[in-house]
Amino acid sequence: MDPLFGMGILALIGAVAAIAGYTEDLESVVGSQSNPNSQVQLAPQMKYPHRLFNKAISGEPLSNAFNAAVGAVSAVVFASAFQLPVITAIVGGSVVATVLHLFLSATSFFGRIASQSRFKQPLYMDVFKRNLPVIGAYAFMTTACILIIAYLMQTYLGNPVPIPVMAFLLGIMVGSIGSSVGDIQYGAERQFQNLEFGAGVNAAYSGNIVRKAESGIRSGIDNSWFSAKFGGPTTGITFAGVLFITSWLTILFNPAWGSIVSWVGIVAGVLFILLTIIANRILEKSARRKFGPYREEEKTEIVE
Amino acid sequence: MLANPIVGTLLCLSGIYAAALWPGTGFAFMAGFGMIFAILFASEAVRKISKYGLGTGVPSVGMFSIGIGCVISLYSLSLNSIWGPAVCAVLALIIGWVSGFLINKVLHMNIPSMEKRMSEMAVGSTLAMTASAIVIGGTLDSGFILQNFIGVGVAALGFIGCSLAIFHAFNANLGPDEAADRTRTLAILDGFLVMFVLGIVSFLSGDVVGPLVTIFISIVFILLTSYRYWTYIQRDAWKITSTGLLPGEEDLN
Amino acid sequence: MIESTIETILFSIFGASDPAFVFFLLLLVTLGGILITLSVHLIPVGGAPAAMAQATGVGTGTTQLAAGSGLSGLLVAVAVSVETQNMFLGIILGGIGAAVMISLVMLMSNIGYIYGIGVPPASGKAVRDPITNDRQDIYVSKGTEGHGVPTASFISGIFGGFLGGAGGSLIYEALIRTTQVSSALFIVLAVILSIALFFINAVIASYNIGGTIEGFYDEKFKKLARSVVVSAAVTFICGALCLLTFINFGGFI
Repeated sequence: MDPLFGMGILALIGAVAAIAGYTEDLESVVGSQSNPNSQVQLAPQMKYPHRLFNKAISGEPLSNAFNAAVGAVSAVVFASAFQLPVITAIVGGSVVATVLHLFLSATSFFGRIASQSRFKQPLYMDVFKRNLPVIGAYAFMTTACILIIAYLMQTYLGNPVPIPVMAFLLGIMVGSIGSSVGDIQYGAERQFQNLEFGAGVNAAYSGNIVRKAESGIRSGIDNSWFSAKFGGPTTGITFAGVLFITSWLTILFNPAWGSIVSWVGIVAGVLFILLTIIANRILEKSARRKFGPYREEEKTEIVE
Repeated sequence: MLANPIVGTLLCLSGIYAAALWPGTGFAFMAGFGMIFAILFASEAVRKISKYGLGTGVPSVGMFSIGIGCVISLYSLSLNSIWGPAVCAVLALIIGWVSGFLINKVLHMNIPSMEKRMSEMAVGSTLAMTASAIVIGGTLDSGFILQNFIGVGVAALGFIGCSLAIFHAFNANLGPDEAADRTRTLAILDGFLVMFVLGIVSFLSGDVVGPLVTIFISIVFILLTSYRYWTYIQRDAWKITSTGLLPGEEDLN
Repeated sequence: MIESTIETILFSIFGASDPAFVFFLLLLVTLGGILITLSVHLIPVGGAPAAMAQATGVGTGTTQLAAGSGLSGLLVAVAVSVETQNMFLGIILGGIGAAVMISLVMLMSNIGYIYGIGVPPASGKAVRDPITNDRQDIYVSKGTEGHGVPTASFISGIFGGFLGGAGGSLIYEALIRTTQVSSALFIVLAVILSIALFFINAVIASYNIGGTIEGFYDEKFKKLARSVVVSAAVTFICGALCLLTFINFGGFI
């Protein structure tokens, strides 16, 4: 394949992947899915009942993989059995996945709240009605973007993995990136916004999440604009970067052109990894220099 | 009684065989019912084992069992024999027991009845995945399954769909006031959601009546189980309000 | 004498194919499983507390992060394997792909910790970083067990990602070697079985470390041997079934 054409497709994949990562993180923030969910789950037990949406389908990788697999399978059926155009099939598949995701979200929300009845956590129906459409919209966008990426990778980059399996793998990837990169800002900063900036959450504050919004009582959609400023974009950049650079290894340095080319590709990959190590070291040193230690160095004994 | 592993296995196998032996896809939905029986008793095992802290959350145990289930069910489907599903149940029982024994004893998890639950989950997820392959074509022919279940990539849906249905029921109802009947109802609802998608997939077989029957039945049961689940929520929730402020101090004490 | 007996047994199990070759492939699959287990022990993961900046490592589950990186490596390995028949190249590039994924994730999550939360990366378990020899304990904020990914964990994670990607790719490459016809159907079958084996091993390893680990310098890393035993045994059994699946579906033709 013409490498220039491949690079163009890669750039398009990167752009779509950035949107997928962004919406994936915001979707999980609205529903308080994944790791920050542990605090939302703990809050009523510590006598802090809340009005947040408690969506505990599973960790983000698996629920996104399920959405992507359902959407991809339905899209493939719509395209092959009903002869629909590809774009229509992708939209139809995403609609099926969104409907299933809404069922899973609603049952998780009801189930988790009902299982906390001894802590007197009420089930607010207006929270349910206001948050569910937002979750559905974000889930639809994430699924549609993943299906577009899978379609582009299979059709234009010549990957032999069929679209449902590819979508499953991409769903696992976007979910694990979203839960490791994007969620920390929601978990450590937004949920504990009343604590001092610049420290990890003291374990003594577990469950004591902020329940008041800028106006009124906080619910899931009040968190999405906060994460849209930092958590969502970083997730998008990371997912796009991962897809872009891992595809580079086989597009720009195509192994079919000989083993020397692919060894150059390996060297390029190793160089990139070294670059991230150096960048991380510089970040670490600058953060330590600028923030300073929490305790005086001389006064602290070294306990080996 | 339906959540009993032995009853569930027998019901699941009879569903699979009813779908597979009937010519055409008209009876394929029977395998869907079989899948739901398998999911039901596997999720019951997840519910029992997750009450001991595993340290990694509920979904990981579901992923482990579907990993074993996927390997065994694809093996049994490759046999191209009428005994395939029965063989896979026996194999899953043995491999699940062995892996549960190794995890419990070598890794020092020390969870009572780990072997038993692991083998129940392995049998459940294996049968569920096998049944999900039968739903799309209503046949045990390995050529059809290689072409449509694996080649198209529906196996990815069988993999994640069955595991999600198995662990989601308990994960979504996690909490001190979790009730067994509510969790089981949700497991059945999840199973019918997966069956709905498998109904869409079965249009790949070229038939029209079988897929429509599967989709119609799954939609009817999705609505029925959702209503049942909602009645359980109404029974168990502390208070259901259309809107309101947070409960005050006097309410909490 | 013993060799010939083993060969006869293997011959009777695996049919007409070359038994020694199949056994060699089975050993490769088992090695891949062990590499995945090793990878989970090396990737720094803090679980749910790390998402609240309460523990060192990436803020997600062990199984999920290992799966995310290893499966992105698998995607690269598949793309390589259709272009070239070089098995070694596919494994190395798969490992590189996974290491790229994990390095970007750790870098970006450190950016999140430093600029989003305002904490410097610090380990809670080591007083001095084993690689850079920096003081760690004074940078740990009050009431937490460290936060972020310090340099030693970062490098440990990159090795872990590389091993995980290489292990997943090794399983895939070994399974695809059972067939001479490079048909798309067998590629899909190999990918799905690799995913299943990946999840089995990742869950076994995360049970061993209890859901969180900081890297090679963590105390829990010393428990590695147990996990290797379990994962080797389970992968051996499941790998044999995977190879049999390939043979039944018409590999070795």
